[in-house]
Amino acid sequence: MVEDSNDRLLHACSLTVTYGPDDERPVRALKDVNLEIRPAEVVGVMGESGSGKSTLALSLLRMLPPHASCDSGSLTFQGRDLLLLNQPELRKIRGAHMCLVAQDPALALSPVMRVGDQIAEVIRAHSSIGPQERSLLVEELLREVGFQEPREIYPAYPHQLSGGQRQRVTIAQAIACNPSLVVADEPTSELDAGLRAEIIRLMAEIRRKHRTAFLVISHDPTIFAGFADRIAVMYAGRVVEEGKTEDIFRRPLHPYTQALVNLSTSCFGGPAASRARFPALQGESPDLACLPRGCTFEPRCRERMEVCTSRDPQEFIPIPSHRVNCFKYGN
Amino acid sequence: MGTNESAPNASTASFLRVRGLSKRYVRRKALWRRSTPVVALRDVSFEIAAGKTLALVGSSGSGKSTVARCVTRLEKPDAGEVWLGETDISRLEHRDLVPLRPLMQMVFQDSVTSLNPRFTAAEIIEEPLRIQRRGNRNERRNHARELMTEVGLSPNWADRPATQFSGGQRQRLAIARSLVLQPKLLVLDEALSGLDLSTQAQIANLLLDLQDARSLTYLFISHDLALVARLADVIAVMSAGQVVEQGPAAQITSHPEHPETRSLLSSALAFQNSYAATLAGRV
Repeated sequence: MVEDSNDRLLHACSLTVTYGPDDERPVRALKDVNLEIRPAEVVGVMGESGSGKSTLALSLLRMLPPHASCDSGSLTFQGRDLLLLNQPELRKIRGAHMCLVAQDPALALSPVMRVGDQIAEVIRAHSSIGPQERSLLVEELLREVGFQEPREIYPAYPHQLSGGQRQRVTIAQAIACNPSLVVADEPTSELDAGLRAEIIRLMAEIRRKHRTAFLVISHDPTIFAGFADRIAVMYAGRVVEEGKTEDIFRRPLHPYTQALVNLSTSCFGGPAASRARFPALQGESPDLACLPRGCTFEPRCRERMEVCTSRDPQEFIPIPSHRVNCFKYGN
Repeated sequence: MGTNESAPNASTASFLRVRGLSKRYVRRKALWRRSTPVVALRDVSFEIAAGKTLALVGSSGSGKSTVARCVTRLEKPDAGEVWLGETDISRLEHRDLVPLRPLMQMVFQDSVTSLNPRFTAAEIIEEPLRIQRRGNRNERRNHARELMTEVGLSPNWADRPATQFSGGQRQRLAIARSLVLQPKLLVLDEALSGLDLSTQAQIANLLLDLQDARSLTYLFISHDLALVARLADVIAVMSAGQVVEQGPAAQITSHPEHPETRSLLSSALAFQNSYAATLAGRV
């Protein structure tokens, strides 16, 4: 399948990120990550903590801390290689064309600034419109993210808002300049189930209305149902499977994805047989500072084969537009 | 058995009985303004049979954690009774509580802030023993290592600082610490929130195993009705400081009556339904 490169909004190709070298052992947080996002598409990234999800989010925005290095690969956004840009050039892109919604809105917002002003600040950084127009625009944005009375929210400080309201404010900040891509890192993990559904609905609505593409990161696969077009599954710094949402849920290929999908299905259906255990995946994800030889999932895998301990599985495409890194599907 | 025995009767006797618990916090907005009390709990009553699990569910701010703090007497309730076995602990003074504290232990949500980062794993687990002056150094150390094994941590990690453990491992450490004094009651305040789905499942299984092995009584506090449905025998739903509905877990999740229960259930089901629809090809 050869696709026109204009059709891609963002394309990460064999992106590898290492933390170090001031640590004793360098930590290889991302390894050969390939990812594509098309305009107006919602891509979900799922995986457990330590799988490199947040590093991926930060590296797409070139917001990694100084001790991290992008060793190889390329990162193209709107036809430009982000890895070649300098900070002033990046600042023009961040906040205007590509934005981040952080996991914890209480940390992402300044505690000493009115939330309306914090949204206005984003607009001021990227456009030359006057202060009056700007505050009208902020009110409109607040209304768009679900506040009925934007004038009451504008002068509020973050501590006066609930967790769900704060997350709405950070989303308003993110869409203030009508970006083409929003990267949301665990946007709902701090919220309870009711608010979680509202925030997902809000993001889906924004996508529909403005054709904004979203990269949404979560450890909980269920939030992607009916929302994400495609899902990339991460394990130990790699994308181990990627495909359409329906395919990932109905026919997961990688043993890791199978375990996750099986587990989240089992949490449903009301009270199970009393005292039944959850079909938990045993073990922990590996330490990225000393990865085992061969497939990183092999120690926890139920279907391990001899080849898994000696070599790293490459990418196989057993079904069109569904790729997986596992020896079950090729050699 | 003597009548004033503080240990619970084995079979179906309630181990924890809470009657008419009330708590107000006084919040002063400014020095010169009249202070306005906030009612955190209003006439909360429930009981848990020995060896069973009661889940207290409700949205944020409904008063769940205040119940936990009153039951473990980290706070003194304004009114009401908290019967732990045969003793009402609601009015006891600090000195009289000390011998009872080993019976009830708490596991907190945030294992990052609830474990001392300068302690090693073994020190964290041993600390309650030191405070209660039990055993000598070697005995305490051995006990800590045994508990690490019981909660699924390698005893070889006993000398690692807490900061070197992952979130799930830290929650295992917190559970090991809570078990070291052989409690009868564990109060788990959002002990599974903030963990990955797969870690949540591992810890939930561990809690079920420990309950079987040690006949523990659990007061499980959570905002996630879907999750506790699998773990609890009884569910009590809280809203604005009151228990608005309680009953067997199966009944609450299949025939919710109070609007608050319905709303909690429907938000838990919101994802399940779209997920089930996506899965439809397989299920």
